[in-house]
Amino acid sequence: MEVTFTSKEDAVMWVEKYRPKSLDEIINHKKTIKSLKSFLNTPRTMPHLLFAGPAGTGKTSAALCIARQLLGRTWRDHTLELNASDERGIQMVRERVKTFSRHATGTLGNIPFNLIILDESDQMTKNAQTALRRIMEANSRISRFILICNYSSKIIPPIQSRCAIFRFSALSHEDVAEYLCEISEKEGLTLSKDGVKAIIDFCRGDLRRAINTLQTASTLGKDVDEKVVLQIVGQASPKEVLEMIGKALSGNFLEARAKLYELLNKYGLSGTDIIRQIHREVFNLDLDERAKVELADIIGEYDFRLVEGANEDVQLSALLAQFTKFNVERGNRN
Amino acid sequence: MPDEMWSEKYRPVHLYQIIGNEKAKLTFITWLKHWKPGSKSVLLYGPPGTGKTTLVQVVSNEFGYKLIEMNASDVRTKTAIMSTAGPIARESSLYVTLYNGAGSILFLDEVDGIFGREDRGGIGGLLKIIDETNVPIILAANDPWNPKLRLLRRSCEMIRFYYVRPPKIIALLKRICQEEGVEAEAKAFAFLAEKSGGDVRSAINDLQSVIGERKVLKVQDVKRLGMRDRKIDVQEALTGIFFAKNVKEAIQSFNNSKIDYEMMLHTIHDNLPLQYSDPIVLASAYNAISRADIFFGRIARTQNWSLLKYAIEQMTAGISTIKKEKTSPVHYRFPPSKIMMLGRTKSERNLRRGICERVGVKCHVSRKAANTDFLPFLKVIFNNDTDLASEISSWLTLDNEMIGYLEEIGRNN
Repeated sequence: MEVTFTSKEDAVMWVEKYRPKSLDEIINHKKTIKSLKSFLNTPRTMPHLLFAGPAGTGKTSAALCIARQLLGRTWRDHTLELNASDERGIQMVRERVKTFSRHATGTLGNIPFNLIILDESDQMTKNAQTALRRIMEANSRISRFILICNYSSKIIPPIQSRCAIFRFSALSHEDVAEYLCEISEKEGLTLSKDGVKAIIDFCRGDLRRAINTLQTASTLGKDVDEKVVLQIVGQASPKEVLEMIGKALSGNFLEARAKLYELLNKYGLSGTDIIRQIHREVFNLDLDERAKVELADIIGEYDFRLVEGANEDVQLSALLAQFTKFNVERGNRN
Repeated sequence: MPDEMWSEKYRPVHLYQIIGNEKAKLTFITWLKHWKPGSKSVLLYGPPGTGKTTLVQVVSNEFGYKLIEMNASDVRTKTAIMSTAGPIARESSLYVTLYNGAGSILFLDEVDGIFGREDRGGIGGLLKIIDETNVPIILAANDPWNPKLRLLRRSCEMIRFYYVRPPKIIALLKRICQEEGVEAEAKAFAFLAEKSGGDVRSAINDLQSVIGERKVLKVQDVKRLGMRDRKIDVQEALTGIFFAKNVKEAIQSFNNSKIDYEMMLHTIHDNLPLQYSDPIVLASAYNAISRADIFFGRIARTQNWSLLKYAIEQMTAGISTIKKEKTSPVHYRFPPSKIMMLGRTKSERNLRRGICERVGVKCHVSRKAANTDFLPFLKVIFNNDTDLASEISSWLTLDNEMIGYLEEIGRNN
């Protein structure tokens, strides 16, 4: 397997600098890429597309490659990039699509259609999605939509049925390693084997996080090994999370909650981020193995409630209260 | 205490005494002057205390109409409305001519409050009356977009009332003070006008309650009272909820307070550990408000407001019915620290938002993803490598404040 990059000289962040410029540069998702490439030959047969999969698996990259390869040199003029979680409501989306379609249709010559890339479309409510479906229909003569989401199950069936659905699974560890080594070589870094492993432990199959970790690690020197990576990971994760868990497990609920407020407000972390970090930290605690598993079960329950609920601070405080209770009950058992 | 409500005592009698909403006044009078059977009815809408009811009363008085008034508080059911409104609306024009007057007008105030869930059909009956009426019908509502009023909107001319501007309210409060022989600081008026949010009635009520028997009004009096009201309410409501004897009492305590359910959720959440120190009790109480919050989440997603009762049960009775240690009410914290924190961290959040927007544009991610997947790394880079940091800054077009922010949070770690 060989990775080839056409580097974009002006980009400073490596995630952009080494973002694939054509579908051929994407090394994973072989089947998906093959189907997508067939659209390049007969563009007019391309339906709306729905890309589903976890973060950092190449969904946006694939969409941008299609835009570049289908629409040619002036692809930027004929592509509208929207992010559902950034737009204020479906009205904004409708307005932007409308304005864009009006301005971008003038030059339909060798351009088969305009492309509208809507990222994080599963963040939209059911009502907004219904409205989106109408927008898609109203514009389908001159525009194609590429919808990107984490979970296709959160997309309403009428939209799903109008799209060809492609699933992007998390990158295999070998693929992540391959990308990391290639970039290291281009950037003149020496990336050790245990360095690669440490990055993958931290980022799993999320290539975006992996590349950001590598670039950040490179600020400590040209040699990137396990020690450097762990140092970076430590600096990148706020130490407040560990302190917060410590306070809760030692029975000091009020101080634990104060730390939580700080994480939410001062660091602007989302509830999901915090719970992910709590989960990671719990397994590093000095507890017996059974206790870790029981705590993880509690965390899982509140991860679910976080998604269902309305206020992250309420759910996370409730989780901390469970931790405090856990500590007392353990004390009674021993 | 004076024995008359000033909001009634100083209710305008003549048209020129009504402050604000000039355009609405004009439209309304024009509509009434030109009304004949078959014309549209009119729906006056806007926030409370902006002069809808007053305008109708003053105009009918000045033009010699007989005003027949019904509002949600005296007539609640559809049948009551029909039996009163029906005959009046059918009053023949011949009768009017013989009677030698301008005739009757029918005024249904607070229509958004009339039709409850029990009588969905009420609107249909009212529409029929509106269609066939021989006398002008005036409707008033606070929230005209209420789905229940959808059909009414179609057969009515809509006249919008806006909040009354502070200078007009200030002038009115000044006049009242002169009449009552009270000396007052100018800033006190400004504060009351601001606090009323453009609601003239509540501004007058507030003025009367702060003045009481005083003859001099200072700005401190006004400020202290506004805060005390709210705090007493919270203290009472939370005591009522935490120490309710049964489910009904807990829910009642919430219903009796003026605090909306969202503020209440945050207030209970904030004060829970102050009231319950036993970790096991605290955990079950938190479990209850976590459940309440889940219902709120489902309501937000599905707009199914019938779930609201479950949320309120959990956040009130859910915490009061837990068997607990002997405690007494504590001094409850208000406003909730979440709200205070949002105020304190506003500039930081704005800066971070700006950075995330710039990252989002360059790296094709949402602000949220920029915050979780880029910011933690950027702050490390900005702390370790000034060369790369300045390259990134110019690539993302960060301003000095943003750069300062990234360096700062990097150092803190």
